[in-house]
Amino acid sequence: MMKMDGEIRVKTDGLYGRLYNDLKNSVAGDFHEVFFACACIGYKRQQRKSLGKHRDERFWSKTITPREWSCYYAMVLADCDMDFAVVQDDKKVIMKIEEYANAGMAILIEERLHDYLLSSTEEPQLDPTVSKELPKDFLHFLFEQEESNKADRDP
Amino acid sequence: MSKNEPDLPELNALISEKLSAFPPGVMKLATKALQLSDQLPEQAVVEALMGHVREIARQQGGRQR
Amino acid sequence: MILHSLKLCNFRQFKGEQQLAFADDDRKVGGGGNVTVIFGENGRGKTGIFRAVVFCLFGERRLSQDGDVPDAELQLVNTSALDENTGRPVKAYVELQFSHKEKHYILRRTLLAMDKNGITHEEFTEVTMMETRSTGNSLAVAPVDIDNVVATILDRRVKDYFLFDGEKIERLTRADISQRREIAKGIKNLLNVDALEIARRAMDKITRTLESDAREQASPEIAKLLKQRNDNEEMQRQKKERLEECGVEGDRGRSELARVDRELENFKDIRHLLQERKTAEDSLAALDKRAAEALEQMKAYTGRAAALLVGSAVSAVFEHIDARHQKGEIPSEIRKDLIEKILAKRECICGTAVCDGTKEQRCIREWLARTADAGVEDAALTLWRDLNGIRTHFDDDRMHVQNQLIAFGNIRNDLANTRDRLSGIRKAIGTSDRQDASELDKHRAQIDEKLRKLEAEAIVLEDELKQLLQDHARLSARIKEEEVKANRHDELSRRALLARDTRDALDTVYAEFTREIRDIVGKAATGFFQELLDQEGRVNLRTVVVNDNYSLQVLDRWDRPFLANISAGQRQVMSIAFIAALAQTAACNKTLEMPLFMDTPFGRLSTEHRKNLIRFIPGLASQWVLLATDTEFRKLEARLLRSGKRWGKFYMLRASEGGNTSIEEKNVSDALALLKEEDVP
Repeated sequence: MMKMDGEIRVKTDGLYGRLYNDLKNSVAGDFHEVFFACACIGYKRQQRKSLGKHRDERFWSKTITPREWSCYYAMVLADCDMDFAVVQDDKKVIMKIEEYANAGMAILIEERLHDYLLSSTEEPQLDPTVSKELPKDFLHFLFEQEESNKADRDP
Repeated sequence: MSKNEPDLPELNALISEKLSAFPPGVMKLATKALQLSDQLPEQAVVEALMGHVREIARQQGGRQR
Repeated sequence: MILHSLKLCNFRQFKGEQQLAFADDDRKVGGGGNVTVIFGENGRGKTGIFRAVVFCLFGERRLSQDGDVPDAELQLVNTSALDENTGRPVKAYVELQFSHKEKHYILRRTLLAMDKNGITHEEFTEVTMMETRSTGNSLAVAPVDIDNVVATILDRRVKDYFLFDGEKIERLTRADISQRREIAKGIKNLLNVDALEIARRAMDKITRTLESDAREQASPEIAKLLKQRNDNEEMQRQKKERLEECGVEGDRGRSELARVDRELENFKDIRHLLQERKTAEDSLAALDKRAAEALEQMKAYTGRAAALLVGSAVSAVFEHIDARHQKGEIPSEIRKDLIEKILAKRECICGTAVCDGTKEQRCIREWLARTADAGVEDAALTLWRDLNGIRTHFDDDRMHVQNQLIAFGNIRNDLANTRDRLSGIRKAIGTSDRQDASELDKHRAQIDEKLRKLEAEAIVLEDELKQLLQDHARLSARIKEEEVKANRHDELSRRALLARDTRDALDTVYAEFTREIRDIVGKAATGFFQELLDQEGRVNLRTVVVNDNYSLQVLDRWDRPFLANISAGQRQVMSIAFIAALAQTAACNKTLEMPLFMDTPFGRLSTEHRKNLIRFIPGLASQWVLLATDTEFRKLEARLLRSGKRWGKFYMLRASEGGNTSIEEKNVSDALALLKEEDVP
């Protein structure tokens, strides 16, 4: 139960392989951070998306921080009416989060990253020549989502 | 010619006058050195002066004794 | 040196053999006179005559005013003669007759030229010199000795002081450091200072040799002291040499600095912009750095910002667990396994039976429903604590993210403003030429730094020298003491002592003499300068100062250096005053037997300066040869020159066939009819 299992291979959609790499270098320090941000975006929009047929084992769950785990547990528990039975299996928790992250990445591309991507590639890929300030824009995007959250809260 | 003309002593006389303040042997040797330097290159002056040094030193020694 | 005649054959514009005689009778006023005017329009060959004299005396085909003109363009042999003799050699020569110290000389330099395939090949073939003494005996000077003989008459290094282009002579006041050193050597020769220098150096060599011999025969103590003194002197020599180098490097640096400053003057109007540009560029670099740092900090904050998005879940779960915790459901008061045991046994721990369907059983079952597994409870409690930690930081995290974004926005605004400012400055600075000024500025800063280092080094060297001199005096006293003790007056040591004393005497005399001679030349130059200057110049300019390196300075009436501010004409007049002073000093207050050979003598001079020169020079120089054009030598100048009664010869350079020039002698009395009226102002 909520052991923060470190032996899980966290997967992402194969389509985003290159982009995960680029974002890892550009806006965060590691894969688990990019994954966390995407999962939070997906959750915030209450969107989950199954991973495509081709999926990559992106990183080991041992790199996920306790703080991130806690958030993942909270997301899953909040989704299923605080049924602690759902969070008994960390693998299942991660699977659910993978879907949030997958949706979150799609939202991120759609709403923010499109200006930063090379148009010539099928697989989304950052254009390094325009990505200098992406950390700021990425943070700003997250902040905007949070602000809309606040607006939801304070009608 | 210019009324502001400075009083110009003759160059060699000016040098001689300055040398006269030194002992006779020194003055004699220095004057010789100057005369030779006016006509000969440096190394030739060195060679020619050696004889004068010997001679003047001998004369001085004779006087001292 | 008195010039008598010049013969030219196929030299420059002068085809065939032509000659002219110089006015060389200065023994009495009303005699033959000592002024020669060679008059010709531009392009007629005045400079060709000047070039012929320099070529004949020194074998030089280039004049200092030739500047960057390539050698190939400086053809000496007459072009018409070459055209008429295509494929055959043409002989050209210059012959100068002059006298010096009771000897008469005929010097001739010959060259051969041939046109081949449109290219002219010239080569010097011969130089001859005949020397005739007052006794009438003549001898041919050996070709290898000719240059030396000429050098004893007119030192090549000061030839520009006597044979010069009037418009260029003012360059003497602008000579660069290496030229100045050469000029200084020439001046020392002229003033007999170089003989004194040779004597000093020779005596120093003798002293060292004799002391080394004497040391071998001296007692160990004296030998040791002599060795120490020798080493001390060697050190002094090295330090002095370095000190001199520092001076030379410093001079070079300062003249480079002045050059850079002159160039920077052209950029004066944009200097403040260059400074502003530098400031803006520095700010831009600093802002870029700050922006990069801010972006790095933001990268570290994405996790916290993302967590804010799941704030609702975090809070909901926390509140849920917290509520259960408040109710005491987590951790439950009765453990789930105990309740299950009671229900299975149908008996409470107090012994009361718990039968199916009873009220007790229903109560216990309700307890069971509310009670979680021990593992779940532990995990929930851990999560409760963790989520509490996360949610209590939400406000701080939110504020942090917001601050970071604001701060970055500010940096970006500053960056945009600075870029705008920079582009405005760059636009104002304009062309790339002007941008070079910043390179010059950098270069200037480097020179400045080097000069400061040199000054510091010179101070250290001077201190070291002072110390060495003190040590030297101490050692000399000890040596004297020891020699008295040892009763040492053998001949070898007497010779060494005599040589040393003589060398020291020559050193002292040299120092005093050069200082005095500079003062004398300076005073004389000041006198002549005052004579030559116009009224306005006399009011403002007071003293000509000859510096240690024989460069010149002029002081204004408040004794401030003023050279940088005087006009080209005043510079020309000052240079002539200096030359006159040198000549007078070198001639021991008599007239130096040296011609003043001036090409374009009055080009830059005002009428008053011209009048003064015409009145003054014939009395000062043994000979004055003027190569003048119609714009500088007019009726006015001719009238003045005639009134001085020293104008002896007048030649006109006339155009002849084939672009050549013929030299025509005219009567001085006819000159006025041939010359132009002065321009009406």
